[in-house]
Amino acid sequence: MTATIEAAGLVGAAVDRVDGPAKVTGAARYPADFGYADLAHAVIVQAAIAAGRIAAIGTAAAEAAPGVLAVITHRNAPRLARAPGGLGIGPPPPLQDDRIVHHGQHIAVVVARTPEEAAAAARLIEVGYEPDEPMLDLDDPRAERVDNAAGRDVSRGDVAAGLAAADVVVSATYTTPAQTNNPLGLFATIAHWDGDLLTVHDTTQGPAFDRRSLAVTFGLPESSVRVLAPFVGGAFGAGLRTWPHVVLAAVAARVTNRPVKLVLTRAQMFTSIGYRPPTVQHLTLGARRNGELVAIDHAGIEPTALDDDFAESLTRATAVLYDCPNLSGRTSQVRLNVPCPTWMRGPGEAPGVHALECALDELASELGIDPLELRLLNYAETHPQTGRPWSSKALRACYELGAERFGWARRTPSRGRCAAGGCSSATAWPPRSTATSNRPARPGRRSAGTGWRWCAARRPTSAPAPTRSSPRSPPTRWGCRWTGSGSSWATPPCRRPRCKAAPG
Amino acid sequence: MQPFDYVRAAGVRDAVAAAAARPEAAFLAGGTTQVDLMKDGVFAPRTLIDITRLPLRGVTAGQDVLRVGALTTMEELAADPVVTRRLPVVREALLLAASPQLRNMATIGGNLLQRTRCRYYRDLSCACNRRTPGAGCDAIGGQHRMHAILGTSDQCIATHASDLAVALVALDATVRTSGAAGERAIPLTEFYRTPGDSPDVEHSLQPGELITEVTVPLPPEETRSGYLKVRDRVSYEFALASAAVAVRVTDGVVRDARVALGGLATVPWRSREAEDVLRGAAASEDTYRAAAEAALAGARPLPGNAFKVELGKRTVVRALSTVTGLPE
Amino acid sequence: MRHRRVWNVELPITLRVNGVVHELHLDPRVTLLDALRERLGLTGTKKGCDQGACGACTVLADGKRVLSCLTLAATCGDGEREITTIEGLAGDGGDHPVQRAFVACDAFQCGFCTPGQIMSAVALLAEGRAGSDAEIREFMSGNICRCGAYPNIVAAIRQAAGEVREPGRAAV
Repeated sequence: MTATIEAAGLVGAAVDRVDGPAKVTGAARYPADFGYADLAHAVIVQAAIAAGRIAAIGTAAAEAAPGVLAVITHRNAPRLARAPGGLGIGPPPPLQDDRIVHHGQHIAVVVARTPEEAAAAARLIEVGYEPDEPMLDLDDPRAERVDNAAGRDVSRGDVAAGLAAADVVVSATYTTPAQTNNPLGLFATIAHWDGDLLTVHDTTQGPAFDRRSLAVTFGLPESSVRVLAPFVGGAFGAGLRTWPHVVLAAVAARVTNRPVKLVLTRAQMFTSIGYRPPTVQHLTLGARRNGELVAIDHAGIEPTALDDDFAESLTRATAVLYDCPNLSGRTSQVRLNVPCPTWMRGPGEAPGVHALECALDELASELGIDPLELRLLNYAETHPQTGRPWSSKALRACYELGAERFGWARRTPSRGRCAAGGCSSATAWPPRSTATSNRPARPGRRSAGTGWRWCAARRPTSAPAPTRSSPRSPPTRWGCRWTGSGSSWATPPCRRPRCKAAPG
Repeated sequence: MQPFDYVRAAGVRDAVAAAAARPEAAFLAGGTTQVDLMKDGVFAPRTLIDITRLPLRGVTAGQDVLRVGALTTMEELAADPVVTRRLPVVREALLLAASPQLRNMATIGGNLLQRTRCRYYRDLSCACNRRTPGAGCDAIGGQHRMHAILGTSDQCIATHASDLAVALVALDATVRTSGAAGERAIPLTEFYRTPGDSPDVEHSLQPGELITEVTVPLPPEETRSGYLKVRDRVSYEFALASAAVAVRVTDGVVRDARVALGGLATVPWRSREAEDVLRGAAASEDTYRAAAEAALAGARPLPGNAFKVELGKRTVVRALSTVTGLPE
Repeated sequence: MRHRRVWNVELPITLRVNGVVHELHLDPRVTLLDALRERLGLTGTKKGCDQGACGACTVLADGKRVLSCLTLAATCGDGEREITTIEGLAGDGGDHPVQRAFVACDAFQCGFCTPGQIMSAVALLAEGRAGSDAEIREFMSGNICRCGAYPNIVAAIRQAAGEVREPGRAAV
């Protein structure tokens, strides 16, 4: 008999977080809170141009400054390998050549006895650039275009035929801005070598892939790398990669033969750990006069980095949200001289669904149909792509409850900016496939406030078949190894979504 | 932060003498500007003279004047009962500024001397004439949504960020100082310098001259005053536009008026043009609109901050309407 | 920026923190925040921005809430100011009413802003500014929470305000 969270009566119960006392007393330790005897401090220097090369870098003054232990640049950094990421590939290792590919690129790291000495010395580094004209616009003719990087472009039916047969066609272009994850906790890494054994305290959402990345970067077996992250000060997707500064902390520790703490400044957080990229999205919707959708064409473009890769799909939710026989969803990226974007809570879906739902509102206006009615008219009773039934779907109930709570019936239908007259926004996060294993699993999730500790501490008395990340017993070590977690991913064992599509 | 010598002054004469003896010395009070800009590398004094122990704290009210020690904190001044009763424009300007923590640290003297929030000024990789004369101004052709439309030059368009200074400029406050040349009093309306050709000169203090006190004439009892701050967020954000107004109305006629603007200008902007329209006119929205037009007549907006012209006018109208009790 | 020669880099500084007097020798550039975290091992106070914008570094100085990231340790260095950090708020077991209320009301997620929120809230109550949700929000606006726990933070402060018997005086 399979136990469920619902049967255990846990959902909706008011319980205190098990890590509450630690957090309210300052006892919870975040990556920058750990100390070592002999700890040194590293400060990063960033490129002030977006494209070109470093023609000269003067480090003598910095090296001679009080307390400085090392100044590391592309001229003296060790050769490093490019690592895989947990999701996709990792960033290129830093300081490997003199090329500048984005503003804010890390071009030097200064290590000193104290953070004050490191920061002061960092300002003494003088950089001469040979700048190129950077590519910063999606329209730049020099820029390379990458189509379907996430491999999630989708199509069904014949969009052209659908549009030709439609009574009404609405077309619009929407743009969404860049948004930065900017968790409150400054990303920090403390790296310590003991021979060839590397230990890092790191701001990561995946100690397991962080470990794998570092192992590959430094050419070590994974068993030689330990990643500790019991608490992190939020990440919101930015912690799903091992960013260059993490590698630089480990390099600094190796070069100086001391444990090194590296904390990004708030300004550096904007260019060092990714961000949600801006998008330009073209929506074309075709419908019958009665509101039934006959065609959806959704194409989005966003920037990506020159030398790095990030894959997200803007149209993954578009494919499953509505019952429409003809559909094409495409995401393209354009390589620009910008820092590499990354996942930010609701990656792809957030900007993509926004554009889709705005277009649906335009269509409703054109048709003279209530926007909510339009959604209900096109409600997908089964999966629009495969025809399979949903395991569960409570979107209709969400619409009803939302309409009641928003006072939908009292709205004044009008065009233009109006929160109440706008759309209901639905989104969908496809469930992850379940891997099964007979091995008892030790979870590698770190706690960033999503409640994983609490969930793990309370398991159903009749445990489901063990999966890779469902614990047999309460974990004894936190934040080590294994897989990662993101706030968009349900915490096991609550993995079966109760609502197939929920308001985004 | 670059290294510096730290000395603590015991008294005003001690502080002034210490500054005179040391080139490139700076006074340290609350530190909310000084420490911040030293971390950014914008300031790099060789000596910091800690004046926090000087006996320059406290508020005393005379018959016609309020005397405020320069080291009085923003919170302390806002809580003063005379300020609360007679100078709501000052109290509001203080409480709408910064955050409670910052208001516990920041002093009145320091607040008047705070530097612009212009992001190019604060970023050493950008060109800034205020920081480095002749270097150029990246704001003019860059992101300047928060920047000034009054008092600008082709060298600098940085907004002055102090709310308190706007209120005090409206009230004809005076700054009292002590320096190597002795003591003097400077009307606040003459204290600030628009950028012109030398944006690095922000005010009329001599090197090593210390603000010791700010005096504020108390307006007649029937004066209504207030501070309206318009900004992107409800709290803890700098002004896009603000207005400090003080008005005396009898029998529906404006007898006396003070108007100063914030968030719009390179210095706290006293608008005698608006006051001339108001004085002797009916206390009505039409009058206030005319005053607002006069206040913003000299505005020189750039593409990215052109919205501030209309926003500034509406801010003036609303501030006047609010303190004189007109319906919205 | 031209290179400067080595200065006399260490000052004798006496810091009184949580009732304990510490005799230190510090670079004058060291902020109170870094003195607490790096020198005294009191890592409960957090660095969220290091520029006075987020409030995560909030501590009490003589009972008043201030930002330790913009305070040079040297300015507290005569031992006359009593600094209170999150570690010194209550006795053993985290028993301050505000700490209790934060746990009971789930007023945090990642917890990084939490020490600063709590210290700020303690001072808010001493200032007598918990009269309404609107007042709490306004006078807690110097503390940012990226996880968005604001509604629960406000609830926690309301709850703690009810527990603090003399609203005009600090519970500490």
